[in-house]
Amino acid sequence: MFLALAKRSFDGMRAVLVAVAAVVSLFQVAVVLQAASFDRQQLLQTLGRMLPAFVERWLGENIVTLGSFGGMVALGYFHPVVVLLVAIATAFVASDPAADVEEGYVDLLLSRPLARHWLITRSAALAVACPLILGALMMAATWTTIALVARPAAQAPSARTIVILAAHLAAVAWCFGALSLALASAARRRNTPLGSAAVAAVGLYLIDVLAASWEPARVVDVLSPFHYYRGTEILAGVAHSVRDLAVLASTSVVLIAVAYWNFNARDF
Amino acid sequence: MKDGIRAEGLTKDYGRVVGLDGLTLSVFEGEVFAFLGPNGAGKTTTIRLLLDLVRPSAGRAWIGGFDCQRQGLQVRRLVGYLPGELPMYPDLTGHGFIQFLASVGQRPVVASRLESLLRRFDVSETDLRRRMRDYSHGMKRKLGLIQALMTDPPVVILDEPTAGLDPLMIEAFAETLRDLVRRAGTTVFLSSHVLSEVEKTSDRIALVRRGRLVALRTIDDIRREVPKRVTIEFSTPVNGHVPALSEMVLVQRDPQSWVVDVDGPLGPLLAAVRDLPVHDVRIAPFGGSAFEQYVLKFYSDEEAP
Repeated sequence: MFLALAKRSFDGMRAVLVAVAAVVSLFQVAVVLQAASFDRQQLLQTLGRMLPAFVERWLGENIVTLGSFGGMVALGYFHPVVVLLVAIATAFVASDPAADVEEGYVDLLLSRPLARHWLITRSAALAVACPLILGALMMAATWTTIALVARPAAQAPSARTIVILAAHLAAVAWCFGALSLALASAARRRNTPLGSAAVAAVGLYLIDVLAASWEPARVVDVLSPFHYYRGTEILAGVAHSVRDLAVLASTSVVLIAVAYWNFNARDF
Repeated sequence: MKDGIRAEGLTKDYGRVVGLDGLTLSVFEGEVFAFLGPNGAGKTTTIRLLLDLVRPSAGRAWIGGFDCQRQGLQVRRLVGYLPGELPMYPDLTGHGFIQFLASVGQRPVVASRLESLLRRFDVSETDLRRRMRDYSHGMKRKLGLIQALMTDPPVVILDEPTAGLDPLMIEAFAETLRDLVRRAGTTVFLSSHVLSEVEKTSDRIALVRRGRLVALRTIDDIRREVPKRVTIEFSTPVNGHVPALSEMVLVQRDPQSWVVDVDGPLGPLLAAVRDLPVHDVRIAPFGGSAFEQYVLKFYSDEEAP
């Protein structure tokens, strides 16, 4: 029964998810191709010095980590396009309970002996799986492209570093997925949770960028999931990954609990 | 008789609007019960309360002895449901739709029942292989009825079951209901605006208006309550006075015929015309417009009888 529900939900979103998977994988291929090209032309360190000042402030002293083949390859895992795309895709997956209400599927499903929580469990499980699968595809794209195009002497990022980056990427996406799920559990239209989560993702990302150079933004930055994902710190090996992942995972768990509570109490 | 469905003081308050106001009724096991009322009267709210899709502000309801809210899963194990508007999974075929609902239903589909329903509603293998996005409204309705009945549930709740069906399929639906009740003693709770349908298929009707129950009658009771239209034809012109009987209203008078509505037994009228040259007496059959007029009185804002 759970598998049938999950498969139906996935089938309804397959086109969007395949498109997102293609974009993030191809993005990673493009990043590695570019890094390999710069590496062959020995332009990587020059490139590091060409970054605008606000990017330097935002990325901090660890920006130097980007001036290497491994650093540039890893950039794909915390590039704003990728992070926001994965977060919004996860929010889309998690908004399915609202789509069930909007399309009337909830009447057909819950008029059967199916406990309400299964619709939330299904969407939570798919939302957890979504960034993990996207991360896995990105990693496959990374290693395959490195194997095909990089110089043998090029310093590829370690598997551990890539896995930690992908774990942070997934944890950030889970936060927005869980936010979308909590909103979807009370909404009647998919656009409500999806739009809200997407606006929150973009807004909180901007706050995180602003916080690097604007003191007042630092106060609220601790509320931004992006505050707990510092790619350059992870590359430099100075990030508090366990603490950051725990904060992101705990936030997601709380929001998912809210979704269960809401959905159980609501009218359809 | 045992209750298949029971509601006691069932109330749903949507803030300023009262969806349902203290509904109390019983539907007996093996009965076809029609739930009627104008749009927005509270029919769908009642159905959603019974299925625990909506939680009551007050009161309780039971199906098969199980509390609809506290024992919702047990209740829904007993129920087959057709929503007023069947949601469509556009990418699924008819087969896929049935299989999906069977897999989440946790109540086995009775293969022989499914086959018989497909035959009765004239749904072919080719139809089942088409995607739902290509289905007509009538085809979707037929599939909706099939999914509601395919597990042979002891209680069936149908919201506007014949909307969009052609006359042949409406007849097939009526036959299916009769078969369900006769063969399996199924309890049927249906809401409908097609009054001729209701009159043909139901044992009892309940009428709701503005969330309140305003009438609860058996079809036989209504048959007795509805005035009978009697046409009396005379072999020669009759010039005398039409007898003034308390339960009779003269509708039309010609020299050789009278049309009267009799609200009660026919004996006094027949006795009054005994000495006149009566050629023929015709009593309009119950149903059709008589039943509709009776029900529509409750639909209007006037004080119902």
